[in-house]
Amino acid sequence: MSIVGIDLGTTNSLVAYWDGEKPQLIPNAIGELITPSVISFDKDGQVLIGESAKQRMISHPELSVAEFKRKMGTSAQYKLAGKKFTPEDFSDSQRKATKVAGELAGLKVERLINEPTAAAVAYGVHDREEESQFLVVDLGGGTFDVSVLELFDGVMEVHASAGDNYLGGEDFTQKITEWFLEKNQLNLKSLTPEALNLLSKRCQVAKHELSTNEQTVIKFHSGKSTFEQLITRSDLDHILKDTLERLKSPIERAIRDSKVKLSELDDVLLVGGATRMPIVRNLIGRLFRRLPACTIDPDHVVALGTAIQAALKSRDQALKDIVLTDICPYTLGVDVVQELKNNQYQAGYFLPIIERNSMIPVSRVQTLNTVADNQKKINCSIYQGESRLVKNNIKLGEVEINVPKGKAGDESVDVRFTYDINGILEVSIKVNSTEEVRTSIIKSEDCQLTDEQIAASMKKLEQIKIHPREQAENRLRLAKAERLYEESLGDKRDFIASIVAQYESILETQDLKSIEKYSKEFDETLQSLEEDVF
Amino acid sequence: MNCWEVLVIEPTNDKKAIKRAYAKKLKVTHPEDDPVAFQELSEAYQSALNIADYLELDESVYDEVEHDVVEPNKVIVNSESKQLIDSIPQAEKIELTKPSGDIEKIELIENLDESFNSNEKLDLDENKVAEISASDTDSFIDYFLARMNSLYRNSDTKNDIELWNDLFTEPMLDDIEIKQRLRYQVFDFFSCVLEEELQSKTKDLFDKNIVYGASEFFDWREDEISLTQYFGHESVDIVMSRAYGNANVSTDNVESKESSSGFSVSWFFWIFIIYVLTKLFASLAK
Ligand SMILES: Nc1ncnc2c1ncn2[C@@H]1O[C@H](COP(=O)(O)OP(=O)(O)OP(=O)(O)O)[C@@H](O)[C@H]1O
Repeated sequence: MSIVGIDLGTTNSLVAYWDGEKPQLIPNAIGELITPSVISFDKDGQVLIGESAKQRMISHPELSVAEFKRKMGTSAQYKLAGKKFTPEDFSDSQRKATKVAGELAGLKVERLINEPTAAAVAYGVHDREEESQFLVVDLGGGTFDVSVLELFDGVMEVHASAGDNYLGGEDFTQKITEWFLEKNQLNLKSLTPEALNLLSKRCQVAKHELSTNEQTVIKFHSGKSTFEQLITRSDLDHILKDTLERLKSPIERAIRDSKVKLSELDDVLLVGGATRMPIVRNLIGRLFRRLPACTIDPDHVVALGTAIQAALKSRDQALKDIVLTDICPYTLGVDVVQELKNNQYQAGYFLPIIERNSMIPVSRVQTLNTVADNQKKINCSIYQGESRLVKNNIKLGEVEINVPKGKAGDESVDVRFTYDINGILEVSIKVNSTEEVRTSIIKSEDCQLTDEQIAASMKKLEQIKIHPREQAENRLRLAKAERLYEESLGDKRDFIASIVAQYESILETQDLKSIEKYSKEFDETLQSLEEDVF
Repeated sequence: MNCWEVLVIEPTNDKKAIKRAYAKKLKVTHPEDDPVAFQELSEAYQSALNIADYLELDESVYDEVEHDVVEPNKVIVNSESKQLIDSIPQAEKIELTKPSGDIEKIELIENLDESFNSNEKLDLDENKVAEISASDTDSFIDYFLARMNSLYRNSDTKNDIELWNDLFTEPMLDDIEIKQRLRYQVFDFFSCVLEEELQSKTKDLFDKNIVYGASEFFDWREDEISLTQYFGHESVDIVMSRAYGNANVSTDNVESKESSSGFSVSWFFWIFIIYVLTKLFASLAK
């Protein structure tokens, strides 16, 4: 059985596999390598995905969702076409949710991998002979990740990673949209969802244009009024100042944790669509006193890297002399009582057992003592986090064990944490005097759905009909036309409405020949309409 | 087995050789196949790299230290590490001149219209990227610490947020290394002055917004655990509770819980330095 690598992005998703020599991207139904992470429902409850759904964001915002990855694992709920989708049903963490999603889709999720690690792996295999230390900055649509890696003698070693799961290109678009509304004294609430999605799209386009041009104009109409707003690069600097500041701290943390000196870094790699922005590159250039490099298409690199990691996992012959060593990205430990002054104790402190950025797999022990006379049991709560107080960390589980009665401090237990390569944590406690052992497995990033739960979810999913592959292109045409309709005014609208009706009636005839012929004409008409929107 | 025996090489400070030896063994000690052997190998590798940094100082040191070093779980007191952090320079001694960092020059990196599809690497134009010289860095750090001290010691400026803000937005602070070097020194300063305030029971408290600002700027919260290991719970509590309000832990539920057997997870690196330094001093004294 072969393993594919999937880059499930906030804005775009890609799939790749290892062909025995190198990673290859797999095109979707309409032949594109990149599929927008958008879904939409049509009137008869069928599902559209990718480009057609993206087009429908503007014409049918109430039936479409994008950026849902951001909400995975949170309590957001989507109501589309009368059906409810609750990511929260499944889990409390994004990674867990991703895994469940994969499983529900009928895939066996082998491993969830770090985006920047994947990117770095793609880069490492790409320029294999090099012996180097580098830093990968991955700024996508919704997440920001930084990793420091080293390559030598066929070893790919991750030194440290850090990130912000709520920072990306979509936040920049959001900021530009807010700025536009303020500049034009528009009220967010006065806009229809259609208009708002249209405005976001215009702002996104402007953002992209500012990556190559010094300035551009955002054109937007709502109801009867039309707005034209000039935006320059220096406006953008100003708008994004605070948001960009947030890039600094994960970068600094990754450098700090890796203990690598800046002068020892051979390269700074940029990955992810939003790193195309000059202001992002400038900031990074300033921080590192050098120009960042990009050798592989920033959109493809993560997917390519996942395919390579899949091949590494199945020990592909071509990669047999490459070993990747990864790290545990956060600190794991237990809660303890701390002695403050003589005989004054305070509860709620965090005792780290596995420190963040330890190479995995890893196993570590700490010895704990009883603090009270005749204490009957020791209860260990297991936490993940970086605060010295457990209340600011995330609780993962609990293990309890009885100890023989004795004076305070006489009894001791060994707490052993074993963290494996798949992110599974095993905690075992041993009472030293009785040798009794208690073990608990915490699959911090794993899902524990029962078979019934999976079956029930599959059944729910079965009710959703997805358009057959042959129809994908036709659906995209219609979606495009509907979006153009939304963006146009007056006579042009009527014209678009009429050609859409005509195309739909031809599709209904199911006569392949005439569909094919008309489709071509339809494409050309759309193209010319697209070129002059106003 | 000490780390060199695990890696099957003679003790050396040649990091490349250490890496080569590690890579060779790693190919037959795959992390997925044999986690225990892998951990032994990876720990030996990390110890060897750490030792290599100090090996050239004194050839005889490694013989004595390696035993302590290769056992990462050993619990050792490390309050001494506090001394390792440079002491805060006194305002009187240092002239308050701002070094002219070249950092603005870096703004030149603009309009990079490189095409992503090309497989070539970007042509790095070294001249465009300014280098900050070591002496600039040192004098900026001295300046920063002295300025901080003088702001604090003068009751007119002590709580002047504007002035503190100016200091923390110095363009030189954009530099990762400078910021890194200041991070613990500034923490040390804040914890010392807050401790003084507590002891002297003064009414003229340091504005919590300034402490908060500094903490956010240096991201101290991300490293509470290691800060605690260097400075102790008390110092961290003092700074954090001033910055974020009384974040202290509750005192209930004490008896039913366990306590740590004494100290913290071995702070490998620092312990090592302390060990080497004491050895060094001992040998010098002889
Ligand atoms: N030329 C450009 N200029 C500015 N921004 C761009 C450009 N091209 C793409 N982007 C932005 O990059 C983002 C998408 O990047 P990418 O496809 O790497 O993200 P993703 O993989 O979907 O998300 P994530 O990795 O966060 O889950 C979008 O916000 C998009 O606006």
